[in-house]
Amino acid sequence: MFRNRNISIRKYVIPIIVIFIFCLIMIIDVFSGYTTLNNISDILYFDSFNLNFDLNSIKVISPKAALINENLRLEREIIKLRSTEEKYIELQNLIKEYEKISIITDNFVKLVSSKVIFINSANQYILNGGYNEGFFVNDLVIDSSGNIIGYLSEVNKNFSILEPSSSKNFNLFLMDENNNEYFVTSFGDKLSVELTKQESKLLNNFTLYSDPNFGHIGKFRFIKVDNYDVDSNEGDTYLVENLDFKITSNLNLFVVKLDD
Amino acid sequence: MIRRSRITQILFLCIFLIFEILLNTLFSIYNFYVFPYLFLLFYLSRVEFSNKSLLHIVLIAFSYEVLLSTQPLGFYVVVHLIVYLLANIGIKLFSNNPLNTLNLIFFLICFYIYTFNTSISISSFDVFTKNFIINLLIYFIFNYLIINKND
Repeated sequence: MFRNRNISIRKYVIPIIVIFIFCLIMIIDVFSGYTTLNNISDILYFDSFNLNFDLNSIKVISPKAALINENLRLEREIIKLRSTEEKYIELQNLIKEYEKISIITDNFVKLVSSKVIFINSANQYILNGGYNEGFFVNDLVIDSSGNIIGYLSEVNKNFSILEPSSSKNFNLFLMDENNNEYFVTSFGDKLSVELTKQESKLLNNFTLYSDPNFGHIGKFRFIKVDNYDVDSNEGDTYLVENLDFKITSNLNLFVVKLDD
Repeated sequence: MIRRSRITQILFLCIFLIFEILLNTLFSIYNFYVFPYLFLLFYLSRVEFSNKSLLHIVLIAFSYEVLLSTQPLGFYVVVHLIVYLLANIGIKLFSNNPLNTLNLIFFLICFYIYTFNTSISISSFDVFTKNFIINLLIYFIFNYLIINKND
């Protein structure tokens, strides 16, 4: 089985030297960032013939596994691109709404974007962002047109609870154009607007705004009181139809903060 | 000894290598690879281990490297020469008989070195084993039909 043969070491010297030389070339090429091969191709003008294509794509070595891996990588890339595109569209919409609202707001007001994440069993609207975003209780929440939607009734670490005007717990002090003060409460479909302090003449049609006198930041429109019923028991209380809109997760809401 | 002109011998080696590339391109979807150039290296190392053959192998591997490969410069030269050298050492040390266990181990080592690049990208032991067995069978046939006749 095993034959003793004299192996002449001498004849292996040259092959070993050649292997050693090419190993050195390979190391140099690896550490020089594969530039040696490119330089040789340039010298030989192989580039002009477009011959320096990837051997791996045709040889032996272009295996199914590599193709599958490439396919998976591309799939991941497509998913990533799609999500980026969706995010891009979402951000563009947000920019448009910011632009729209920036006309209404003043420079000292900072608007923090938020959305309704879900509605809990108590029918409360949960917004994303809480103390982490600098939200506090009673911070006003407005929509992209600058109308007051409600205020924050509870703030947690990373979520808050919105008290919209449709909520029966809703109550807010507001002011009209003539500095008359009103206390607004809600019955769900109707709002009760009670005059608390009269400063000047009462108008037939007036609009209610937020005011710094009540701890609000900035002046934002709440509702225009034009078509109302006067409460028969209390002469200074108006019953107004509540705002007719639905708060959904697509609605971009803004929490009003003081700009630092 | 094979008596051929230098150009004929280089062409002969080149044709084998091109044949190998084409064959494996066709069968690559089935992960089925045959390496006739590897058998030729074995054949050359047995019948014509000389500096002249060495030069031919280096020339072909280097051209292949520069023209077609994305591997670092010298990779295929080193791989082909190691196979050429090991095949000769194996034959001299053990026997001409490919059924010899030690020769089989040597063939496995050479096969692994030659297909090192492929083995990394396939990354499947089953495929590697399947290809090794197929190549070994072809090598036996090649050995009995060609090498033994020439001896």
